[in-house]
Amino acid sequence: MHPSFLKKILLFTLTSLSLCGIGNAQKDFTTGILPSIGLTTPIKDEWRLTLRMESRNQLFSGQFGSGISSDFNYILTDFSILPTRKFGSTGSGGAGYLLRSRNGNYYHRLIQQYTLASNIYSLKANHRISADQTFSQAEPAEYRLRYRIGVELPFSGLVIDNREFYGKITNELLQKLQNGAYNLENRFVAVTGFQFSESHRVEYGIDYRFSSILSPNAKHTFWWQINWQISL
Amino acid sequence: MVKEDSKTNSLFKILWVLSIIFSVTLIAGKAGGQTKYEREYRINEQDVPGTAIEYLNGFPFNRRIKWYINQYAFSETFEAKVRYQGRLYSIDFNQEGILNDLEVDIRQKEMPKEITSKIHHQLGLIFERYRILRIQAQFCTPDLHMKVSEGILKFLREANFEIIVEGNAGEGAAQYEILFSEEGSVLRKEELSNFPAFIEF
Repeated sequence: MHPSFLKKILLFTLTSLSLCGIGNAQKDFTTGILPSIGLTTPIKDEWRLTLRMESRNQLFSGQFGSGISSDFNYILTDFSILPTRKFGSTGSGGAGYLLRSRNGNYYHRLIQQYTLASNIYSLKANHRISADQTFSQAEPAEYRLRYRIGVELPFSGLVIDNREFYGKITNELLQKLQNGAYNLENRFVAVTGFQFSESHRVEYGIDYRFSSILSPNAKHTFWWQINWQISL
Repeated sequence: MVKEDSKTNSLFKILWVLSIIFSVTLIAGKAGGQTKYEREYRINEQDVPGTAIEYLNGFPFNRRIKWYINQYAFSETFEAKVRYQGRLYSIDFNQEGILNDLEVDIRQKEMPKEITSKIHHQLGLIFERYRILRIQAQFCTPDLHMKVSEGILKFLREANFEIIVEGNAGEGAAQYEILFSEEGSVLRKEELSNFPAFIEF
């Protein structure tokens, strides 16, 4: 079961990543940092509340093969609140709200998501299906449907203990519909994490986003993710 | 070129700083409650007691053996994991390298039917609803070399059964590790680590 599940994840990730190169004429890219803080706390019985802040800051931009230029630019900050309910011992679902500030405009996003975790010996796998709807006076409404698959693996032993490093890889496909136009984005994340305690983790690594599998002028963005996660 | 910050950007920067201070305060408050020590990690064969290595050499295992150490507050055990004939074997030794037990993954249909019915009866008494996630047969007898060589499934009537169950005992679903005797009675029941802590991230 373990090797075949790994093969499925690898196939899904490689397929998504390989689609990123199809028909891409201009290879524009940007890089930057993506720091975030997240806090999950129990509310009552099966319910938990997740609060999260994330900022996006561009550092460099350019075209592959044509050089890179410094282009520091604060882009946006997101603040989200997401109440979720436990389903069974490994499922979690809920609906929430995100407020985005970007270029002086506010964006309001409604989020619905369901997450399922499973253990395959030392490997922790995680599936997330979510939908969101974003509204703003600056742009037409955007509707997205997302699926993310991820695996978490301890670097030492079979279980992630306190004061140990671990690795996490996720791949996500995002379908978007805005103003009648359909788009398909892929996001690949590979991070290293350190678990300070059962309630406190820090992760850092790369978040690669390919803005459109369907467009020849899609952009590549490489974000350096720094995540601070607290679960009470 | 740095764009001029708007009032909104300044507000979000203030929120960032406040959230960091709040998080640090929460973590500092939570850290005082952490007292349980348990850790496991991979080790090399040369770090394992010779008695355990010698004992393991008596088995017909033909694949790589991975060694782990399980550290607790006042003791530690050595554990060998190896795949043999499609099954995962876990052999546990104490600090001196003396055998504690051997566990092997099995499927429910491989268990003796009368033991299976007794176990399901017991689970029905404990849980409103349950689902069996994993079963391991546990052996503690000295003649394990012979049992593994001849096929461990022939000796399941002599085994205890360690079962991982997802069940609802009236306070919400959770995962439990329950040890049943060879007669199907409950020897130990332990709730496993709770709901995945960082599942929402």
